[in-house]
Amino acid sequence: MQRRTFLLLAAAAVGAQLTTVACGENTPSRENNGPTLAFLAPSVFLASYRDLDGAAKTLATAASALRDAPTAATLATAQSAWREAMKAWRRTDAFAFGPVVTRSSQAGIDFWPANGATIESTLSGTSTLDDAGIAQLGGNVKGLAAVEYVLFDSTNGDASVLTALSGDAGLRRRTFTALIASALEKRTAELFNAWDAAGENFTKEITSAGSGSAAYGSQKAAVDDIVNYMIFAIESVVRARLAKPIGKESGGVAQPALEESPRSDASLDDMLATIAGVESVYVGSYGGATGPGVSALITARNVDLDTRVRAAIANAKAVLAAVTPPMRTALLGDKTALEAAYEGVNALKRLLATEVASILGSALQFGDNDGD
Amino acid sequence: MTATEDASADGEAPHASQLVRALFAPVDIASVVAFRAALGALLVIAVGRYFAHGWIHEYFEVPKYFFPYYGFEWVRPLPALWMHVVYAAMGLSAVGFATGAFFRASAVLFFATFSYAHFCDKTNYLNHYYLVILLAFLAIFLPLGDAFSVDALRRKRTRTTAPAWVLGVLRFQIGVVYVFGGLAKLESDWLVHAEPLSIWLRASTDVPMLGPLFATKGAAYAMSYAGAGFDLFVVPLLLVRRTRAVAYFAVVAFHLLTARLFQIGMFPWIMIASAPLFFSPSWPRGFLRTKSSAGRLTTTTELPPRGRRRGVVAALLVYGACQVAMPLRHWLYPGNLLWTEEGFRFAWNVMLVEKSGVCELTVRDPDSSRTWSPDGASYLTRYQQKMVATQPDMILQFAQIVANDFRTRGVVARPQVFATAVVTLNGRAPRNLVDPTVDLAPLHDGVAPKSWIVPLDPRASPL
Repeated sequence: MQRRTFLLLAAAAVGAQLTTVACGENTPSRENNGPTLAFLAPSVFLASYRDLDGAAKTLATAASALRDAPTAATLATAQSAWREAMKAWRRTDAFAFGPVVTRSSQAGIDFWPANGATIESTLSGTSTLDDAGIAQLGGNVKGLAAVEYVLFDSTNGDASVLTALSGDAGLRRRTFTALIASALEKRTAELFNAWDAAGENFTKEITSAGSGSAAYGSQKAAVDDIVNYMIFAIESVVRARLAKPIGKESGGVAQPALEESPRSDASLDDMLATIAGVESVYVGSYGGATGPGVSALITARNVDLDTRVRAAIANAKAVLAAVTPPMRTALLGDKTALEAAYEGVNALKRLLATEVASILGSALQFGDNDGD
Repeated sequence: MTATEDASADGEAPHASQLVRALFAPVDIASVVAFRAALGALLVIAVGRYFAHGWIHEYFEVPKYFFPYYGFEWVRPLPALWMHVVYAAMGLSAVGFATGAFFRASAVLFFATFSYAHFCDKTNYLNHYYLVILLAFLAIFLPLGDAFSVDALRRKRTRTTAPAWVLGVLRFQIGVVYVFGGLAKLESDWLVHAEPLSIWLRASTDVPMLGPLFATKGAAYAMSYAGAGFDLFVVPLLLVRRTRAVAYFAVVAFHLLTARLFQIGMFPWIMIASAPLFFSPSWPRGFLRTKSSAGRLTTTTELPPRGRRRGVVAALLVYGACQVAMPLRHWLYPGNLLWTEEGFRFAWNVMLVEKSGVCELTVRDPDSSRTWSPDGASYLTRYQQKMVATQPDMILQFAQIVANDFRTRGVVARPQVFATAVVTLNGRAPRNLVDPTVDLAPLHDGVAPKSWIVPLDPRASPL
C-alpha cells in the first residue's frame, strides 16, 4: 500500500470517529438516555440530597434545643427529626454513587452499628466535648446510628432516655448528642455541596454524560451506574436488613442483634424509604416533580417489563408494610410475614438484576473493568 | 547449497520440500518488528492501566476467594505487595518487549508474569488477555528483537530478514481471532435476532450522528451482518493488495467504533496494531524510507539443519492444531454454547452475550434439615458475584467454596449446596441456568459435559 494512501485512510477513519464524538445534539429517540439523566440528576438526586441536608439541619437544631431544654417535647421533636433524617438518607441509597463514594460519606453519616460501649465510655469520661473533640472520635460513635443510640431506647422507653439526658448529670450526654448531630449535618452539607451547582456540581457530571463529563464518558455509563445502584440498594434491603436478622444466614435462627434500627423501631420504615428511593429513580418522581425515569427507558423497549417492575415495587412495599411493627417483635413472632417480605423484595431485586439490567445493556459494564 | 538441494538431500518429498522452502524463505523483518514495537507499547499501557485503575488491589487483594481454571488450581495470587512486584516486572518486561531490549528475556518474563496473573482467577478472563498471552508466548521463539531494537544496537548487528514462518505464525494467530470470531457469529441470536447488538446499540443512542440510527432494529441487523462479514473476510481482504487499503480502513473504523461503544479495553487497539501484519513485510520501510534487503536474499539463503527444520514445522503444526481445536471444542458439548458456556473461553467468542443473572446458594444440613442462605457478598466481590451468576463452572466453584467454609467452621459436617441461578441471555426471559435440586457440593469440575446445567429451551428466543 502506498504510504500516502494508507495515511489518508487511517486519518479518515480516526477523523470520522472523532467527529462522532465531538458533534452536537442528536435527534432524540425514545430510547435516548438524555432526558432521563436530565430529569433524574437535578430533580431526584440533587433534590434528595438537598432534603437530606435539610432534615439533618432540622435534627441538629432539635438536638440543640434538647441540649438546652431536655423535656419530653424536645425529645419527641428530636426523635421525629431523627426519623425524617434517617428516611431521607435511606432514600438516597438508590443513587449512592459519585460523591458519596469518592468522599466516603457513608462512614460519616451512617456508620452501622454504633458502638454503644464506646459512646458510654466517652460520656462517662472527662475529655473535652467540642467540635474538635468530636472530630477525633471514630465513625462508630457518630452519625445516624450513634444519634439513634442516645435518642431512643425501645426496651426501657422514652422516660429512660429523658432521665439520662436530664439535669446536670445529663448535660454531657445532651452536649454530645448536639455535637454529633451537628457533625452529621456538616457531612450532609458537604454531600449536598458536592452535588449542587453552587458547589462541585456532580449533577452536571450526569447531565453532561458523554459530552464533557469527566465522570461519565457516555450517557450509557451514567445509566449503568443508576441501574446498578438501584440493584445494590434493593440488595442491601434483602441481604443486610432482612436476610441477616430473620436468620437466613444462621440456619433459620433469628438474629435480633442484626436489626438495623432496633432502638428507634424504625427498621421497617428505613427499608420502605430505600424502596421509595428506588421507586423515585425508576418512575421519575420526587417531591412533586415528575419526569422521565428509568421507566421511560424500559417502556421504550418493553412495556410489559415496565408494568412488571412497577408491580414488583408495589409488591415489595406492600409485603414490608404487611409486617406488624416493630421489627424486633416480628422477628420473634411474625416470621411468616418477614419471610414474605424477604421473598417479595428479593423478587424485585431479581427482576432488576436480570431483565432490567439486561434490556438496558447494563450488565456489560461494571465499574471501570474492561469487558469481553 | 540452495534450499531445494538441501531439502532433496534430506530425503523430503518434493511437495514437502516446497512447503519447507516457503516456510524458511527469508522475508523482510520490518513488519514483524514494527508489530513488536506497537504491541509492546500497548502492553506497557495495559500494565499501566492496572496501576492507574487500582486493579491489582481490586483483583488480587480485595477478593477472599479466587476461581482458578480447571487443572490450574495450584495457581494462586501472591500477597498484595508481591502482586505489585509481579506487575512492575510485567511493566518492565513490556518496555523491553517494545524496545527490543533483552528481548527474549523480556518476552519470557512478560509471558510468565502476564499468564500467571491472569490464571489466578477466571473472573478476569478476557479474550484479548488470552490473545496477549498467545502473542507473548510466540514472541519468545521469534526473532522480533533482532532489528530496530536496543538489542540490535547493543550487539551492533541488525537482522534484515526473518524466515517466512515467523510472519506466517503471527498472521495465523491474528487470522484465527478474526475467522473464529466470525464463525462464532454464525448463530441464530446474532443473525436472526441481531442480539446482543440490538440491546447494546439501543443503549447508545446518545452517540452523535449515528446514535439515532442505533434505536432501530435495522441498524442492529446491519451491524450484526457487517460485523460477521468483517470478521470472516477481513483477513483475505488485507492480504490482497488491491483491497488492502479499504480493508485496513474498515479495520480502523470498525475497532474505533467498538472502542467508542463498548468498554473493551485494549482489544481494539491491539487489533488495529496487528492488522498491518497482513501488509507487505516491507511496509514499515515505506514510512521510514529505509531500503529492504529481503529481495536479494530470498533465493539464496540456506535452510537450517534438517532437525531444526523438522522441529519448527512440528511445533507450528502442533500450535496450529491447538489453535483450531480450541474454538471448535464446544461441539463436543450439548446445548447452546452461549448458555452453557462449555467450551466458551479461549475460543474467540467475542461480544456474543448480554447475560445478566442472580445466583443464590442454599446450604442444607442433611442431618437436621436446617438451611442457610449465605450472602454472596460475604465471600465474593461484586464483580465476582456478577461473573459467577452467569457461568456454570464458576457457580460450581462458588458452591464448593461455601461448602468448604461451612465444613471448616464446623457449621455443617456434610453440607449440601444448591444453587438458584436465574439468568437472562440476550433479552430472553430469565430462567434457571442450573438445576436447583442438584447438590453441587460433592461434584467435581472437569471437561466432561455438566449434566446439571438446565438446557436452554430452543423455543426461547430473544424477546
